[in-house]
Amino acid sequence: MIRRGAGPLLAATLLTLVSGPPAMAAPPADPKSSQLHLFGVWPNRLRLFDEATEEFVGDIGLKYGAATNSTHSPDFSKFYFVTDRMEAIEVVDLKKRAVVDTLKLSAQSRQIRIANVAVNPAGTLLYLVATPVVLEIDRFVPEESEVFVYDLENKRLRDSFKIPKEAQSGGFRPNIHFSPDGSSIFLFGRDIHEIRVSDNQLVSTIALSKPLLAGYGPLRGARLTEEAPGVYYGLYRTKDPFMQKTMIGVLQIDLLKKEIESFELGPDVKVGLFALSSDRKRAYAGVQDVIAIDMETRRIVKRVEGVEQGRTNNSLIVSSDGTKLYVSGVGDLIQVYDAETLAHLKDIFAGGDFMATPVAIPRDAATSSAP
Amino acid sequence: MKHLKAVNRKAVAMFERIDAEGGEVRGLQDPPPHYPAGCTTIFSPGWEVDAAGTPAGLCQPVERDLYDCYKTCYWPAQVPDYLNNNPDWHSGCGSATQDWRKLDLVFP
Repeated sequence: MIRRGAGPLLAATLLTLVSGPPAMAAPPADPKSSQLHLFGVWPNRLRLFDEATEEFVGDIGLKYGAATNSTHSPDFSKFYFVTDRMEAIEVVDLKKRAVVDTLKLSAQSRQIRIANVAVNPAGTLLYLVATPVVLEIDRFVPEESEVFVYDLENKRLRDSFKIPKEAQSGGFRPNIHFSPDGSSIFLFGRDIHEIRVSDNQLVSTIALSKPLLAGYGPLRGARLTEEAPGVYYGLYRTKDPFMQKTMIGVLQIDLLKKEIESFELGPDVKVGLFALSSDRKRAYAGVQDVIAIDMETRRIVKRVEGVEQGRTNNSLIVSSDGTKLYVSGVGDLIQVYDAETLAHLKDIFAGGDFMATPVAIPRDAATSSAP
Repeated sequence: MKHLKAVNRKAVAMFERIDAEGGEVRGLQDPPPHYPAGCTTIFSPGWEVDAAGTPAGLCQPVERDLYDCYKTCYWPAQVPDYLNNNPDWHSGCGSATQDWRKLDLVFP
């Protein structure tokens, strides 16, 4: 594994490394082509939001209620939403604007609660990180979480295997992601563990839990987003063991090359979400405070404090033209900010409370080519 | 449990089961966690206060956080749990900050 970077290189314990669905299209998007956002909205629907008009332009009804998580095919044509109180997957065809398939693994006395989901690049296998829960006379007893492999073509459970001990992070179920070539899955926990698809064996670990340099403290990861196939960005924090001073920086992980790159921004800022502009020259983080980061000079160029208090939103999307920020995910409002000044522009009512984390999708993936 | 006395058949059955299992009474957080009420695996200060013991860090308005607590069963004592016991609690209310009066009543 190669570690490089302009600032101090860091690798230590990722205490809460989580990842969300990709926030942007895989390659750098054409700034002129606006994108759509797909929201899950209470109690049982998906809504498509058009950046160009800033209006909702489509609704898709779910069969089994609220969605709690999702993933999608690399070309955004199919989405896989966890619904039915974490017991079902609903397959959504975006162009048809409809649920085209469903699957469940639960039995009457043994519920399979699905936490995280990933689909292979070919769209044939669904990998589900799930916890079986057995109903006894007066209580529910969870079993160890497993990875279930579901064959989408033959509509049957193909395999299952226990999550390796190394990938179990303090009771949290790891997020799961496919390698761009489909040969491996990666479980994101304190470290990132690669499991070979052919035999479900742990074959490598991208170690993030051991300090690379003396004098640095544990590194805590924030939410990671996939900005290109296999390339994830996010923020990290680290507190040095001597001065107890927390610093913050930007982390890039390339799963294919197994490379980590990082650079430090400075003292801690109250931010957790991270998003890149489509040209990758500017990044933003929020949302208790909101900062703009120049990715070329690797400096914070704008900062606004006290934007949100208490429970903050969990989605930050940069518009495809880079002029606006869309903050949402909690409550029922999309908050729109000016990307240059970071000033709040307006709120847009979503029609209900948000469910699964919103996803930005290319316009052509959601638009039917049929006459 | 030694200060409690079973007065109906269900309570007697519970005592018998506890005795059969070795007389243990375990907290919810004991591994493996037990979920008699809902599905939470954590004990947190609660929905009424933030980590500092004040309401300053709560969602503003507080209803913004209602469904996230509900769907994940984060605080089933304070908010009905979606996974096991009260899946229809929210069915009349799409937006908690605006329609919270339409939320169903839940009786334990």
